[in-house]
Formats: sequence, structure tokens, C-alpha cells
Amino acid sequence: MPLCYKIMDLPKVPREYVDFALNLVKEVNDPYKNQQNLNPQQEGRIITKGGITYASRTNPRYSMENIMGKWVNDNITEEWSHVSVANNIPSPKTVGQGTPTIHGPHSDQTRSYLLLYLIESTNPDQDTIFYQESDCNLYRKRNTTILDLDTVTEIDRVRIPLYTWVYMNTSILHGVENIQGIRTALHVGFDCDPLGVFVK
Amino acid sequence: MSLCYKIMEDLPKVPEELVALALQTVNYRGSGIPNQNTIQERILTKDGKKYLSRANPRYTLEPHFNDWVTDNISEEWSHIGVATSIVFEDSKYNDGQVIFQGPHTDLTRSYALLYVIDQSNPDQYTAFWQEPGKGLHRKKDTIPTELDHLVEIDRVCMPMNTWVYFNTTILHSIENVMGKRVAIHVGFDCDPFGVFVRS
Repeated sequence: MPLCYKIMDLPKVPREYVDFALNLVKEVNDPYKNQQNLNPQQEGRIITKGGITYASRTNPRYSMENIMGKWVNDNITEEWSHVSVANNIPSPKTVGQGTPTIHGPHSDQTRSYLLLYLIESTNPDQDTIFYQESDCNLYRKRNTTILDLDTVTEIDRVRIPLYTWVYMNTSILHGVENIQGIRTALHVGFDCDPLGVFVK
Repeated sequence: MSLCYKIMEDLPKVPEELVALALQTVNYRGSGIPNQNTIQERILTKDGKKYLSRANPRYTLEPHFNDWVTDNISEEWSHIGVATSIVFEDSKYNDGQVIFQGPHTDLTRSYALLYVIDQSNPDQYTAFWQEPGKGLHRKKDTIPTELDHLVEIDRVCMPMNTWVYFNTTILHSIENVMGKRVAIHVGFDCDPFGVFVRS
């Protein structure tokens, strides 16, 4: 089976960076005006699953490179393409158009691989699910999105624990389900596959 | 060992008319066709001597070329183009003809399929390198300028008119280019290995 994700034995992020990231997203009352959203795509998607309509959530992301880039260099690897904090929210463009508990299946727009470090979630049973679309390749070009979940087959899933680095291949279609409120995570993105090359 | 490259004998040959189109595109490059990738002058130190690396500008092909790739190779590509190896003329660092493009990772992709369609000499080869103390896979646009400490880990002499997969996040160089080297490039951000739709 292809490696969709792996829970990594990598150093915990110091509390000061976690606090900075949480404050950063809390200070952003309007994430589309006050901070540069590094992840502007994947907004306004209405998806269906089992005949039910959902308003796909979105995941605006803000740079943390000046804050913790050196720490990532020193403790994880220096081969990253970006370091940021992502704050998963209901999309402002689809308010009232469906239940906003799913971030629908997609491949990422800005990276091929990811280390994700969950720092806050309202409910611990949020699931990251990996999919393959019928008659399509497992690895997809960037920013591929799926609107009908009944056309994809689940191939793996993980309930990402708090404060733990998790490697993901973000060119495999993936989504997050059962987000009842907050989901905030640090992201270290890669264009090259970092698995096996972490410096510590 | 990590997979640096693989000769993809089973992938279909590019039709002759499309090869001709690609060669024509390269021949017309002086008439205003913009290149897809940024070309920069890179001064490298090798064996204690400074060189100005060859460069490899890449040009977009006609839409029907893209359609052929989508139908016959994969639809997950990020770009398709034809690239030609060049030297920067009139440089004080070029003591005669420079015959290599120095080690680098690519700026615009993580993986590529190459299809060499013209070359001056058949013993040109692609070498793969690792920098001591660094990971094998490097971020985009990594360009070592001191070459003597790099360790060669693999090499391939790419056959003409044959698709060759390679991981462009591993440092790689093109060596022994005595003149011409023209290749069709299909770039990917996701690893296409094993997922070519018709192989």
C-alpha cells in the first residue's frame, strides 16, 4: 500500500512557537483582509456525500517562517518550502449552503509533501482521510479537487494526535471530516519528499 | 539506494511530427518565444578552476503536443516543453567550450520525464550527486557552487528517443555536452513513477 501518512518521532515544537501561532490565528478576525493568506484556493466548494450537501471548509494559512524557520532548520530539516500555521474554518463563500464539517478531498496547491503538527482542535475525533478517484492515478497534479465524494474510494485514514509531527503525501487526494469547530496546525511544506532525510 | 532515474522503455515513442515540431520550436527560440524556466549565470568551482555553467532554457510546445502527452503518458503533468543546452558566450570564466551544466535541483518541478531528440555526441550523461551532511532530496533550486566535495551517486547516458524518468529533487548535472543537446521535458509535482496511464 502506498504511504499516505506516517506519525513521526520528531522533536516537539517549543511552547513559545505554538502560542505565537495560536495568537496569530486568533488575532485574524478577517483572515482575508488582515493577513496574507498563503493558501487562497479551495474556497467555496459545495460537495456531496451520500446525497447530503456539505459546504467544504477552507484552510487559510499564514507564514511562520520568520518566527520558527530557524528552529525547523535546526531540529527537523532545512529542505522545506514554507513554514506556516493553518486555521481550518468554514468557507465564508459557502455560508448556509451545507453542513460545514468536512474539508473536501483535494491535492494541495502549494506543496507535494507536508509535515503537519496539530496544535488545537475542538474534538479529538477529526479524521484525515485519503482517497483514490475511480479510474484515476493515486498521485494527482496540484489543486485537484473532488466535489462528489461518492466517486472516490477511501484508501486510508488517520486521527492526527495533538503536538505530534505527521508526514503526509499531499499529492494523494485527502480531506478532513468531522471538524466540529477549531482545527489549527503548524505546516512545514516540501516540494521534495522529506521522508528519511530529517536531520534529527 | 534511492531511485535517481529509470529508462522507461515501455512508454510510447513521440510521433515524428511532434519531434519535428519540438526541434522547430528550439530553432525559432531567438524569435521571441519566452522560456518557461529562469536562466541564470552560475559560476562554479571545479578542480580549483572557475566555470560558467551551461544552461537549459525550456520552451512551451503547441497545445496538441500536450494533448498527446495527456492521452499517451499521463494527465498529471505540470508543464511540457522542449529544452536546449546552451553556453553563455563571452564569459571570462569560459576557457574554451564549457561541457557541463552544474549540479542543481530544478526550480519548476520535482520529477520529470525526459526524451532526448537531438545531441551532438552520444556520450553525454546525467550525473546524480549528494552533498555530504545533507539529505539526498533537496528543496527546489538548490545550486551548489563548490563541486569538489560532492559525491557522485549514480549516472545515466540517456538514449535518444526514449523516455527517462528522473527525480529532479536529487542534485543532478549534465556532463560531456560537446555541443547540442535537445530534449522534450514533461514535468511533475507529484511523483509519476508507476502511475503512467499507458506504460
